[in-house]
Amino acid sequence: MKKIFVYILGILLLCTACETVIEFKGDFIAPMLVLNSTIQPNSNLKVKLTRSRFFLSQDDFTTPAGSKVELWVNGVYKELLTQVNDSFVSINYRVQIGDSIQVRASAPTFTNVISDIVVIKQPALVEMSEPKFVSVEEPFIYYSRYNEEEESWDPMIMKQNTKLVTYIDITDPELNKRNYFRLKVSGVEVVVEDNDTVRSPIYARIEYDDVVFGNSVSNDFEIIEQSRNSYGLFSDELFANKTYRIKVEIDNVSFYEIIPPSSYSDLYNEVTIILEHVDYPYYMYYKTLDVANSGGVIMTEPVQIYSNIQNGIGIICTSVPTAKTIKVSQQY
Amino acid sequence: MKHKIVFLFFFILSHFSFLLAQNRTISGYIIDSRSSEPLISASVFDEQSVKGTVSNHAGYYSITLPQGKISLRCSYVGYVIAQAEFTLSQDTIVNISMQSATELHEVVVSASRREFGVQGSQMGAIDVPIEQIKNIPTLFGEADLIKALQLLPGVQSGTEGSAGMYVRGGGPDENLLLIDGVPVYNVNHMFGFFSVFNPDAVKNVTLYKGNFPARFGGRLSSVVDIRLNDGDMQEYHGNITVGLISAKFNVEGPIIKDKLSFNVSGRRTYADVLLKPAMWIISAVQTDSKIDAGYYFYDLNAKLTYKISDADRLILSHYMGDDAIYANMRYKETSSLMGTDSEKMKLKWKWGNIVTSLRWNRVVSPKLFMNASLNYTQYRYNLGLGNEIIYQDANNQQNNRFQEFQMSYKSGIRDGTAKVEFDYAPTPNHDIKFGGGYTFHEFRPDVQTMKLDATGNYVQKIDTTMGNPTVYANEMAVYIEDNMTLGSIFKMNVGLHYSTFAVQNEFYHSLQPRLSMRALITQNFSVKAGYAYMSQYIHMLSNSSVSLPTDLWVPVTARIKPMNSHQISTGLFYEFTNLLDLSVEGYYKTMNNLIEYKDGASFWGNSTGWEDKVNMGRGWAYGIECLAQRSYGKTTGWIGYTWSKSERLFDREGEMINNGVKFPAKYDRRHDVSITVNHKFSERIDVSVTWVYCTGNTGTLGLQQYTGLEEQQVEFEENSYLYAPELSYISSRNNYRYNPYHRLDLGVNFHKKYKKFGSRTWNIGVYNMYNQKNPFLIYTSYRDSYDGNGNYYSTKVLKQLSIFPIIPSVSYTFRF
Repeated sequence: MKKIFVYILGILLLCTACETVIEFKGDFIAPMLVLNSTIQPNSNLKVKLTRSRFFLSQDDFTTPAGSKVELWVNGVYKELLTQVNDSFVSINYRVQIGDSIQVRASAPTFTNVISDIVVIKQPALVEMSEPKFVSVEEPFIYYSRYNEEEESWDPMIMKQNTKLVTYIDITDPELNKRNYFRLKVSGVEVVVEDNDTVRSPIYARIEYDDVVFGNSVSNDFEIIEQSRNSYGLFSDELFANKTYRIKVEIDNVSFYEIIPPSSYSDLYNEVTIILEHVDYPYYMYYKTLDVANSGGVIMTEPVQIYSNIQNGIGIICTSVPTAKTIKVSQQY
Repeated sequence: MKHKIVFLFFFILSHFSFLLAQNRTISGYIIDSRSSEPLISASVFDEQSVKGTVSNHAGYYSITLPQGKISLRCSYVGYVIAQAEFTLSQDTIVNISMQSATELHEVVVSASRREFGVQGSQMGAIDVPIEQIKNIPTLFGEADLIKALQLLPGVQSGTEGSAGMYVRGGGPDENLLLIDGVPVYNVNHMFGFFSVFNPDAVKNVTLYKGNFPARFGGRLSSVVDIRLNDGDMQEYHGNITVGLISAKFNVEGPIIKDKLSFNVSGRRTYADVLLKPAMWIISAVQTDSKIDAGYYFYDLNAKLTYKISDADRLILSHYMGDDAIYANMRYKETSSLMGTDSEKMKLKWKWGNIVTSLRWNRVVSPKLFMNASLNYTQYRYNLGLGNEIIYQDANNQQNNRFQEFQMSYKSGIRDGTAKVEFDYAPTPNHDIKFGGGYTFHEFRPDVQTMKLDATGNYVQKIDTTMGNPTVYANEMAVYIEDNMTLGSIFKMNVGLHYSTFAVQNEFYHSLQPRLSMRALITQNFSVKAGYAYMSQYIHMLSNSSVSLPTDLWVPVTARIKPMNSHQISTGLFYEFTNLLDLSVEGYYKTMNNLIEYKDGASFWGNSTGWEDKVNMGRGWAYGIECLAQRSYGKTTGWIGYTWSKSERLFDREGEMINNGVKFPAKYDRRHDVSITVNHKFSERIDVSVTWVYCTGNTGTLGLQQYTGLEEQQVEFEENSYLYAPELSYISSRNNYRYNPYHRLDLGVNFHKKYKKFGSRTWNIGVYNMYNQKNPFLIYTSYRDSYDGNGNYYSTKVLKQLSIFPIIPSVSYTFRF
């Protein structure tokens, strides 16, 4: 009996092991200026400038009062960017391929920050093959409404999953140099009705199972862990100085309301495949962000998100997109 | 150059013989007088010639001395000194039988840490008396060998309560833990909170943390040489202990008196047994479901020692231990309206070691002792999961469904080793050890199988096996070392260890010089220095702080090179005769080809692509260790203090971590203090107290929050918007230091000797006496508050998770 008592006491005490709020006793880091921008050639520069905050604070990420952002191109001062809300925009200068861009930002009480990048070239997207459906599921009822007169459930919205495959050929845009890319997809459902076209975004996702995406296959049978490359990033490591054919599998999910076919003249999906030639900072930013997002496991090492802002945080990078749109007829 | 050194070494050895003309050899076994148990590292010293030696792992000693009068003195911690005087005229066998001080109720027991203390050439090593280990108060009252070693200077624990060891800035996979000379790969039970070594089965523990003798190799940071009890050759005795979480027993005795002995020890936790009634109640209350689940671990040590002749002994030792989690659940619901819905689930999760060794000890000649062994060690991890669902619709057979699912995951490592070693004492001034061994490794990385058979309204069939192929590796090692005395002042242990490792068309080899030197300034004071080069061919993939069964050993590859380290150390040793041993040691260690997980990488049992998840880099560790140890009298124990620093640098092209800038290692701690005291008040009561204090662990915190790049997001259902993620700015890896760790443990033993038969001990212990909330994990979270005006608000806070508050324990031991 005594032993049982000791046991219960032990278990109760064990249960008192708990979490406690503690005081932060580390070295404080002063808030820093945060610069973010994705530069695209032949467009005006737009830089978002905010401030960071202490990690236990819940302040807004505001733009510090009195902030200034300067644009320098190829070592020459071009202009003081104009503030529009929390962003700063170049009014006169449009960024060109090959430009050495330097962005300098300052704000009272903050350390000045600088970022340097070179605007890269456009990749050669040689060809995209005709997409083929490799799997089409039967549409199924996604939403239904109770019909009191008929005393039955009327289907209102249907859902259909389709998978299609296409191939794109890509040539190495800059020889003898490591190039980085991102492949992404977006989709819209197009309904043409009485000379009125309605375009609504739809869900489309690429399955990055080509070898260039690395060990990214989410194997259904992997019991314990899955690797990922959710931003579709890759480099030309495997096809430097050559043309490479990438297999692209797209999961396309359509939602459509049950309407009489006669009420519209056309209904189809448009899937746009975007191949971005990106620079190293862009590649590293999304690579590290991807790894950080895949965390959540307590014991993984926290991720240092890539930054190329001297004395500050953030990312200024370039991306040169090439897009191809394919029309996908809905299958039901 | 290396070849010249080897040649010179053997040349000197081959010319010893002519020096031997006037010398004779005294040899024999040093044994416990009651049980005939061989005593390891007992000191034998001739006061006439001022020469000495120590017994080896078999209790055998050999000392070659000039002819003439001999005053032999033999000492061992906890035993009364044995002395003999005689005239040496020919090679003589002297088996020394020593009497335990406890047996004689003597208080003052002279002993000497000769080999590791003032007199010996070895430094960075320590013998911890097993009785002291048993008395150290621990978590749940479970005496634990590894936790006792963690109290020594230079050895750090991982997280709260864990049995992980971090020696002189090294990682947990850099420790070679040997049971009777055979490596053990997974040394943890219960996710690292207990070690697999049952102290009842252990005779001797020696920890080497630097200046490794040449006979050891294969790990960078430490060697823990654990020797098991051989078994009493004279009479039967044993003990039974019932503790808070486990029960254990130890039985030993002669099978054939003075010829064949056995020693068997076992331990098992019984939380699962105690929870059975709760399971039965749950099953009884819930008529539609049955449940049976639990967790346990067990250890079983067995040893047979056969004395074939005075010169030959055969020793068979075996260890096996497992952790197991099991669950069986059944659910069945039947209704006339719906039909029958039943589900069965079965989980069997088991992991553990098997270690077996067959040794042949032979006294080839009085000067030459041989130990030949065949060893086998394995660690295996099996997970099995099964599920069966049957649904029978009472109204519509088309809705019937049957699904059977089975999944398994297996991994492990197996080694087979053949080894032969010799101890050769040609002259009074040389104690030579040489030998070699071959190990065949079988690395079985993860293999997963899955079987799914579904029929009815949902049809699917899967039968697949995935995983990585078994990897085989061949490892070979040869060594030679000479513990030589150079006059009355200098003594040195010089040796060479050469090893090769062949795996998957890769061949690695390494010649590792070792050196330890001592200058005896006075009989009580010496200065030592040493150097050791170590190489390691295997890595453990683990998810850092907590030991999980999924930890997986993998060999080096073409890309992941062997780790290696250079360590230099120096120290001062002072002995207050029969009072205290003092030592101060300093070390500086460089490590190369260390592996560290990339940012965000983790390991959860899948070794696929593991090379891509790690980077290789360098490490530095340096520190000062102070130890005051008392092994004599009523009050024993030690005070240890360590000042240390351990850093990592991963700056190779494509292998960068922390932007190629140095960062502190995970368990870099500046100060580490441990005080362990055991006081024997009387024959009936003794008390042990342990207090530890150390600088907090390092961790990585993002100290600033900011917004990232905006990007268009498309939600699952027709929503598109711009989104900028909130990110953490991490200035560097391990940039935050946890609160210091400190704890006081207390243990009291109440002994009673029964007049008729046996004795008993009640042990009452308290772990973390002042209920210190030590950090296990730190993370950010939110705290809801109320401002008193009807408003609730949430603030972001830093939280610390502590897992072990004050924990009392009690155990009962009966000895016979």
